[in-house]
Amino acid sequence: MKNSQKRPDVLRVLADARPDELDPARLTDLARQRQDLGRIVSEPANTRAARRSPRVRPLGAVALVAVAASVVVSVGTFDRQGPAERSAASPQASVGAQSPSAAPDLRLDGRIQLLSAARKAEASPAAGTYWQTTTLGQYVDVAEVSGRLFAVRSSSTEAWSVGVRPGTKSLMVSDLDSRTEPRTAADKATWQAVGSPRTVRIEVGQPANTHALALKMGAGRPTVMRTDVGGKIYAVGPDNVSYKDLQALPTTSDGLRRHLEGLYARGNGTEGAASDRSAWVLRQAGNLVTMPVKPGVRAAAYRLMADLPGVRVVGHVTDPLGREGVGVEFPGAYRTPLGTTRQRLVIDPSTGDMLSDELLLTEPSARAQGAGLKAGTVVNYQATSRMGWSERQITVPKNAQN
Amino acid sequence: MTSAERFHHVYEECYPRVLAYAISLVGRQVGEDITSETFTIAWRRIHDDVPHPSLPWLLGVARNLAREMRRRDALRYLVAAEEAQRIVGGARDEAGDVAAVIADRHIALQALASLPESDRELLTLIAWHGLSTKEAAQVLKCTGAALAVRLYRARRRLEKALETAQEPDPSEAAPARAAGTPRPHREGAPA
Repeated sequence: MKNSQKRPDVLRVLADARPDELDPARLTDLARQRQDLGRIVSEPANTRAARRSPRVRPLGAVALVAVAASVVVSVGTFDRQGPAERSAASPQASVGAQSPSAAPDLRLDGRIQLLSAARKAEASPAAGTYWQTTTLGQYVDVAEVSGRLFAVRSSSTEAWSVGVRPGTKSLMVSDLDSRTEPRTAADKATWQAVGSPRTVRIEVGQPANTHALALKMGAGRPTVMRTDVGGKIYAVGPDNVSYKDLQALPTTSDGLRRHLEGLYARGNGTEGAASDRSAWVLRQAGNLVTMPVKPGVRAAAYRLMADLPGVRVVGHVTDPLGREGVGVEFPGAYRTPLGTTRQRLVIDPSTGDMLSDELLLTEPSARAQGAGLKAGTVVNYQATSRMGWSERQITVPKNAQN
Repeated sequence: MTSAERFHHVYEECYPRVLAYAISLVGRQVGEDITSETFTIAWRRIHDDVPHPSLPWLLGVARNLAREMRRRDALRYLVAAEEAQRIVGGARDEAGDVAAVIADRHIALQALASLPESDRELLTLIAWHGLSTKEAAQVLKCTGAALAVRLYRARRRLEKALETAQEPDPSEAAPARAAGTPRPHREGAPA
């Protein structure tokens, strides 16, 4: 640049002089960047994202799993009872020794069913190019307009296709057929009575720290996202993992439990309540069964669930799509603006497939009651309608946004 | 649900650039902390007023955090800012660079260093951190018109400073080049 007749633009000269330490290309893929991401997204649930993660999403991004993990970690902050007391207080917890007269032992029944799921899972095939899952999700919220409360529900379908062979991509298309509408006919009448607003305000977050969020009524647009990062296709605990890593997971329940507990200790230390660790391990095991793992790993995951302290396994429950399965309940309670909730997985013992991941309202808040939500209502769910191998990548709808 | 995905995307996309900017303000170590805090704030607010955190928004947050640190923890800030100065001043040019490139760099960095802070900030947001004038206006929280005027003046002053720095004045040139060699006592200082 120095003494040329035609002087280049000064900003160009300055740009060329940028010190290398400030070159973003030299600041990519830092360990610090990855560590921070996990920590940041495990922050309390102030966002819709966190609120919407009763099902831990085994995404190729640590982010999403960590979000859900935060939900799990916050479990128990409300309910100070120990697992045993809590079980005793619950009508379904009729463990034989405590109440010998209880009619069908749903808990034992559930355990048998879960182990049956494990046996079925062992037989599932394991080969293909794209591992695909389709889930239907629904979220219930309470809106307030002109002092009147009503419930709205947002529903959508999500198609996720994970390429396991080198050079294949992983794509997630979410918010397919997405709709937000009044939950029941009564809710619809209230919504119409206040003028059928296109946008309504709902509350999200922890009860002590809620945020108002605007929710648009009607249909939404699908979103597409690439979920693989440098050959890593899923997250297991704090790590992003490749297909090869998944294939190397232990196939015994003891081995798998030790592996997951090791991951938990790395992220959380050995401190903390046993129920937090149980919930975390259950969450990870629940994720694993939706991934393309060896059949032995899926079976190990179910066996592990059956023995986790504080986790209740209940036979003959029905998922939101009306399918019968065995329920695996997380320890502890989780407070939301709708009231106290409990999280549970529903598994099909006849196939070993995950049916749904859901949040049940156990004690509705005044606000939720005002909108007609009763104890036992499933307020959030992600139900798997399809899971399996395919040789073809899914098609992305034309109107999908990035 | 999709907001977590969106956040992850923004994070992967913008982290290196936010960090580069933060390093230019407060050096590497504190810069990493400020970057981390910036994204923490973005994450908390992703659904309130910042549905899509943009690079200018993130740089604006990082800038505020650095300023807050100057107020709150002046001593730590001074040490950090000194480290940033060392980097921005080009004190660590790699030995492998061609001498002429190093010389040009040093002239440019020297010229930059002679400008008022507000000029330096604006010019580097555009030339180093790749922002458009509109985006720079967002970071600096001023109108596009005000920024255009500021930029015009800053460019003129930089041109002048470059001319001065390039004057073949041996008594000036010698120390300017000497600055190119790492100064041992500074190199050895902890980050």
